[in-house]
Amino acid sequence: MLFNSFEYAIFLPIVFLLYWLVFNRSLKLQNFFVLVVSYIFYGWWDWRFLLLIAFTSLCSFASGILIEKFRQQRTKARAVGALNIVVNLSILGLFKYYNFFVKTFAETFLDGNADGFVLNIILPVGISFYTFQALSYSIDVYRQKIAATRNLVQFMAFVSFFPQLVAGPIERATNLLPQFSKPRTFDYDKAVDGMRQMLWGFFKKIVIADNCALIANGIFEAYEARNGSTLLIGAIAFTFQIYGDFSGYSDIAIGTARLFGIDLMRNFNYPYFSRDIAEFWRRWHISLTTWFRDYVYIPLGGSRVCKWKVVRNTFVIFLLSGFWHGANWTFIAWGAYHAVLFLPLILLGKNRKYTNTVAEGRFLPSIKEFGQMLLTFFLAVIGWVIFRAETIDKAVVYIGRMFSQGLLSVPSGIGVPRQVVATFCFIIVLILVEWIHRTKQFGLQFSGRISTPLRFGIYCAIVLAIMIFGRFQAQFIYFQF
Amino acid sequence: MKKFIIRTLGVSTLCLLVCSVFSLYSFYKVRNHTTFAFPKDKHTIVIGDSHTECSIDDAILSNWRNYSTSGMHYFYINIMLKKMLSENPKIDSVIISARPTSFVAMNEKADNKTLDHKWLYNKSTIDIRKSFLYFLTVDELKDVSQEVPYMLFSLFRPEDIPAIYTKSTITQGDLGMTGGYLYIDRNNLQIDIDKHRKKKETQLMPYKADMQIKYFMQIVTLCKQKGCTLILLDPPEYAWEANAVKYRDVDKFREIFPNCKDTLYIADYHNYNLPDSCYADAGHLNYHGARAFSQNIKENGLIITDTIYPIKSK
Repeated sequence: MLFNSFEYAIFLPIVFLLYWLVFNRSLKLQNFFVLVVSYIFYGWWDWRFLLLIAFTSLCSFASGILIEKFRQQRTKARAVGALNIVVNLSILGLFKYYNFFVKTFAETFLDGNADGFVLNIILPVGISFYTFQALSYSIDVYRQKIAATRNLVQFMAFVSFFPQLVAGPIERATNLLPQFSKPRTFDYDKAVDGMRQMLWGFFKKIVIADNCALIANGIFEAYEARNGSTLLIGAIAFTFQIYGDFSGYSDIAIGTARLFGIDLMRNFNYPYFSRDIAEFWRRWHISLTTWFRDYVYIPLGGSRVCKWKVVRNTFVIFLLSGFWHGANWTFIAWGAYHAVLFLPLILLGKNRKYTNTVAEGRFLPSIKEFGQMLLTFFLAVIGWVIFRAETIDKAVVYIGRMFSQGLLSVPSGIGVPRQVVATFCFIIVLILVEWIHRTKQFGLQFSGRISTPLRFGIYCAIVLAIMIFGRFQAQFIYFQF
Repeated sequence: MKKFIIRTLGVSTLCLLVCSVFSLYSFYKVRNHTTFAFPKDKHTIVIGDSHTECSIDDAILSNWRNYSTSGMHYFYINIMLKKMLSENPKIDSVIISARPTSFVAMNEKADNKTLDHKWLYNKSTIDIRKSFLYFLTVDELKDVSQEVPYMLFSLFRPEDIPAIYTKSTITQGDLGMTGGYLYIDRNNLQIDIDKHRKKKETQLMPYKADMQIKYFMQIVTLCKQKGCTLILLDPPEYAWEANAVKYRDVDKFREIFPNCKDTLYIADYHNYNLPDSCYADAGHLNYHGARAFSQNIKENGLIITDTIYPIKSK
């Protein structure tokens, strides 16, 4: 079920009312209800893959109990943990990466003939998200950061909690699981804030991302016939498309969860206001970045090892992060590109130079800050071209043409001019609103008291923008990951 | 909880009211203040899908006007034609894109709705087609609500057309309903040929597009009532594409229109020979092809052929 679908508009109010009015009498019942509706939410897409989520959940649940049981026998506990990781990653590998490896092998050694080896299977929606979430639980139990739960319903509700099931944030057991073991009471302010966050998420997805998609798709599909300035517009459109799409999804997910009295972790912190690439990665897809940091980078030694190991560790997490997005060389190249940008900062010890909010206490940034943000933004734009292109060759040609003499020519072939102008006007609105609220959790989180008419006026304006300029029923990009 | 529900309902109602006001105004304005008039020297209109869109250069054929748009269902063509013919009495000929595959196709899934849905409701083009919905009759509205209920949702969405709020008379151009000749500067023929070679043989099933046929028949009746000559044009395609079995089930095509022999004229150019450089892809011409084809029509007239029906001459 898509958040931006008619089905979800019916599903959410019904679930909300039943959750608070019927199933609130017992925590067990409420958790069971969450589990059932989460499975309905996922099964709406393809019920067969519910078995996969159930299997993943059961494996991690059992491994948690066994790890705790073998607490005194470290080898056994480690073996159980390793087995759980292998099983989960094997499922992920089979569905997501098997065909990629077979085809790559065939192209390298068998003249590209992979017939007979390629599997005709669908990639289950959100498999990378819930696999990583389930994995984090057993690792945290092994590390004794959390006690193994004996409550299967609670655990399965944690893995499959519908707002964040298919596209994150990738929750940690330490944050989400305890919330399923405490009684939840309705909090008016939290629910209202959740609604606002959802509204802002819908705006980002339906107005920004889906309109940018029209521009970006048209340009990327026929990039060979476009001049430099048009290609730059295409790249910028995709930059806002992916941000609007993914951070919009996260806002809707976090907002929805708050309606149910659950707090999910933050996933985006205005990444395009970053002053260097290190700051960008602290603000972009935070749940994945911190997952790789905690479960891969730090166990490898992090930055407290010799320099060549720092280089190795940096490349490992960026390449893994790229590969996590999909079985394509472009994602790996995108990871490598960011590793190259990140490496000088970490080697010079400047990767944590900007941990505060840009222009803190001021409305406008200084010229230096503005220049830094602009440079980081354009480095990200180039990265997104690599990410969006079908092949690395095409990405290279795209970037080459983008910086040719045509960069100074008039853009052409970018679709209906009125729609393009409207889309870029909305991008400016997005930037302004998020800049003003950059210290807040999300763009529409009001600071202080504002009058009711003004508040209602803002809600109406956003809803009107969604209804007039929005494009409905478009898939979220990150579902495929 | 109660306060939250009441307030949420209040805000939702307010937002719905605001949207409804804008929607009703858009509906009133578009339906009553749109003109479909076009230059008086044009008396032949071409109105079809991507095949005519890419093949008729109306700059060469001076009395013609190409209104084609990619993926156009006869449902929409019928709506446009009704308005155009009533406002432009000088139109004496209507050329519409028609190939056997417009009505009957072969697919791996024998689903009658697939073909209709492909053109009637396409997620990426729904917003472009939205303004057509303002001109529907009650019967057409019923058809749409049965076929693709989601489309009705579009009627409750205000238009993003500035002209609605700024101009006293709206034109087809304002509504994005103009279509036109599509200048394509590419040649992907070799890519298509390579794909065709690699394609595996699959079991194909024939299926009919009922809505296409229904509204096609309404177009036939409309043209007859208005005294216009209706010509079905099947533009040139690359040889194997043009003759592929899945696209050329002529017998099925013939079965659909047993009673139209006296009212339909067929200009079947699907086997018309053009150099390889004239194709944008196997099914469409690029601008070289459009120029050559349009020039041929200018010099020799549109040849009415007998591939599907007996020879007629215009």
